[in-house]
Amino acid sequence: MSLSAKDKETVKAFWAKVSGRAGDIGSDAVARMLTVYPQTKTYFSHWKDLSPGSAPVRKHGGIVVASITDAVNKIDDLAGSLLTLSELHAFTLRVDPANFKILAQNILVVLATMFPVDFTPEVHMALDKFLAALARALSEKYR
Amino acid sequence: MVEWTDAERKAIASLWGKIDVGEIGPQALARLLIVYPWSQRYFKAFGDLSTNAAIMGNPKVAQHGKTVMGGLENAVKNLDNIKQTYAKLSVMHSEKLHVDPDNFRVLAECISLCVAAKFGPSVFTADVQEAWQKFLAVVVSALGRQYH
Repeated sequence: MSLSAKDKETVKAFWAKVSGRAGDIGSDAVARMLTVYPQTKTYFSHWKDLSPGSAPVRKHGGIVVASITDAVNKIDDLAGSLLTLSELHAFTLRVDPANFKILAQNILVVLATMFPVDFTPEVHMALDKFLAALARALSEKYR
Repeated sequence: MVEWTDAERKAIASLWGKIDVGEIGPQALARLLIVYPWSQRYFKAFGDLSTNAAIMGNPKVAQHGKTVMGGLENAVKNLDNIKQTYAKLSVMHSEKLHVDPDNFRVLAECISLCVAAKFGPSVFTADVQEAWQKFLAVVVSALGRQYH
């Protein structure tokens, strides 16, 4: 299920539309992940405040979504461009890769709530494939 | 048995009260068939599913979407006994329809996204999302329960 030329075009066009709200997207996605899948909180026991809208949640959302924007710009070589991030997640953060899917689902929910008209079935599919490809690239160095 | 908090019960009932099954159902099923095209294997009798436009305009897809979404009413009314409520339906999906239960999970995701798009962030808050997805997860589990 690799990204076709059309998928890449669709992702880039949609992301260009929404990147103005990148901060909100990231913050809301992380907040929802922590609320809807409380097991994900286990990775953030070092945060003072895990509530939606808190400073650590906003900051982390910003970091995540900036990486996604970067990945969109390097969509032709996800494995290559995510190498360092993959090493970080594999050796330092040691996030169970199952959680990438969880965060992806919440990103889709946020995009659906914020951009209901633009989030067509075509865009939904292309994004679903893209986020899965991202997750795969991020898991590359795990073992 | 599934434990529901009062907040979860309220959230589910409130959201269900707002949902038009004739609207969300067809959208969700169309999304399933478009985004996860292998799910089309179960709908050979539905006619033209060859393009996204065909799927979105297909009356059998719309009707079936409405039926499936309407089926959630039973779960909303029987929150404390979803497993039993769906036992017969589970048997049917296993023995008669031969549906891979992973499709229930994936359809549930499509339903959640359609609901999210319809109601936006002020109604479909993180807490409402939690309750709603938990609810659908219980339904999905009940539907797969009687497979053997």
